[in-house]
Amino acid sequence: MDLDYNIEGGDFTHAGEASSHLKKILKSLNLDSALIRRTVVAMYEAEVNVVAHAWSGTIHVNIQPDHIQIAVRDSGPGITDVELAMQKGYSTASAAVREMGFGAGMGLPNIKENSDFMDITSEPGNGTILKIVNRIKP
Amino acid sequence: MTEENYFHHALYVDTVQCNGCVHCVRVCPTEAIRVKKGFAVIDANKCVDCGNCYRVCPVKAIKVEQDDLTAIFNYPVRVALIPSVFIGRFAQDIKTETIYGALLKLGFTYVFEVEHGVSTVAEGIRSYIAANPQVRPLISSYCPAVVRLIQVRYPSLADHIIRVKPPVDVSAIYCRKFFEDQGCDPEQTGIFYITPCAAKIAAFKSPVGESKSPLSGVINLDFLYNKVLAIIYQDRKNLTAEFQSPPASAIKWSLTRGEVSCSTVRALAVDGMHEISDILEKIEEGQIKGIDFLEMKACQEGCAGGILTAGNTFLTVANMERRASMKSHTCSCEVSPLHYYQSFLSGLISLSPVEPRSGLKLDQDVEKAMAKLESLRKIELLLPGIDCSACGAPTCHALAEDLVQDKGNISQCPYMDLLSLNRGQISGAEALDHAENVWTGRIKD
Repeated sequence: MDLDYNIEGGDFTHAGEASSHLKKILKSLNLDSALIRRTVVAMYEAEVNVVAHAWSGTIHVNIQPDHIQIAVRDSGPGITDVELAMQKGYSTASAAVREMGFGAGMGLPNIKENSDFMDITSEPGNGTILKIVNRIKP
Repeated sequence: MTEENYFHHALYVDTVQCNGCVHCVRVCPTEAIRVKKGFAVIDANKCVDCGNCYRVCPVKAIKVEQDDLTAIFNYPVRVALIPSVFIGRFAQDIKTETIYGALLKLGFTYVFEVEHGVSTVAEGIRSYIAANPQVRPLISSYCPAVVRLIQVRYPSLADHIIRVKPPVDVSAIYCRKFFEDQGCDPEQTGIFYITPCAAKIAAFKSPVGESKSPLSGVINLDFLYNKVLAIIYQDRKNLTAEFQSPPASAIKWSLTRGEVSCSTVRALAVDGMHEISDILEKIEEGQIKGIDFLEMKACQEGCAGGILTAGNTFLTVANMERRASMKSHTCSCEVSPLHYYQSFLSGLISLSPVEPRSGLKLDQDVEKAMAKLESLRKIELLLPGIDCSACGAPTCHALAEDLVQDKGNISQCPYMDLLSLNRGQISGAEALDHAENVWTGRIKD
């Protein structure tokens, strides 16, 4: 099953709606509640990353009987040093974003913590592609 | 016990009164109600006894199951365990001692306020929060409708519920022990809770996190209010009794922010099923950070807004606030009745883990659920999407959910039926029959 979402950069008010929708879908599939939670938390963080850093983005979710794959593609400034961005507390968020309670530098580490597989490819000046896979245990 | 018949409910539909309108269907926070053959039908696996249906029913067809007042006479010792909202329900010119006196006259042998148990519970919550730093936010177990909502709709948050019994249980355990120490057989002590809501009746009949409720019965607050008021009207001058009010902060425990105001951690209070659902969604998604303790009450303004508190919610709140402020100006050297039982009670206030239940699954099996979800999404595209509830389900999405689970028929939708009629797939008579599957007998007449 495939689900597609569009994310608008800068729209913090509606950040989280895509993950909220995915959550309803996953609940209807009777998946383990801990798996749902991990997946949705990871997706929410990814959603906020697009809203906070990029101009726009899309999320494609593919659900298979044994795994959930989430691909987040954005057009934005990209990440110059992925390894640095993965460190807890490291953030490039602007002061304005931090004032709204975001940008604590926990986004990517939190995604990693809540996913079984995570991969980032980024082209500075162009955009970022984030892939997350969570396994569905029988 | 299997999950299918685990829940006991205090709300039921009176099929004589019910006219099959969809007011209740549309306000149910768990989409548990459908209109079938002219009557509202409540799905026992989804209902959380919040009482939203009871509030909106225009013909009073939603009833609350309750114990008869005569049940108290099965016990030689008859304790009325009253919540402070019960006192708050009465006009300010009626004195507390008069209300106590009227309860004794009705046949109770002892009157005790639930909120005497608050300090024990508050202490229990404080230690629980300190002992479980890895789970945040922790959610109060006070409101049984909230506990059940979490079980059914937010099962991943079941372990966020604070495993400390609510004040009513603590006070009931105290009363039983107190009379036992006075030489009364615990089996002969009847402890009756006067309830402001249906959820607490359901919690008594099938407790969550306890094997057995410490109560002997539950009595409808609105019913008893009327009984007491009638006695007061007849015999006001002669009614009096000794009483001890709970501490000021405890009196307000059942109101919104009552628990939070006794808390020293980062806390948030939310009331109303809609707002509660919104916050629980956000917690599940990891959107809410920096909150240690969450107080949630299904009714607006807390138990003052309970469906059986009746009357005007804000008048009740004002009465309770006035009583609390008067109490706070009196001598604070009073000793709580529970004082000498603290160590006994603190060993008994723990709840067992709250079991998650899954009220949202389309199928037990993931692959079957996926197939059902695929067809659900196709059906949704066919339906008009105006959520009119004429099919007896709250929304087009809910009808689609019913269809993929074989709990409904697409002909319930009047628009789909009109299309079939126009295409010549069904006759006019068949269309009327279909309509009657939802609206029995009122169309052809």
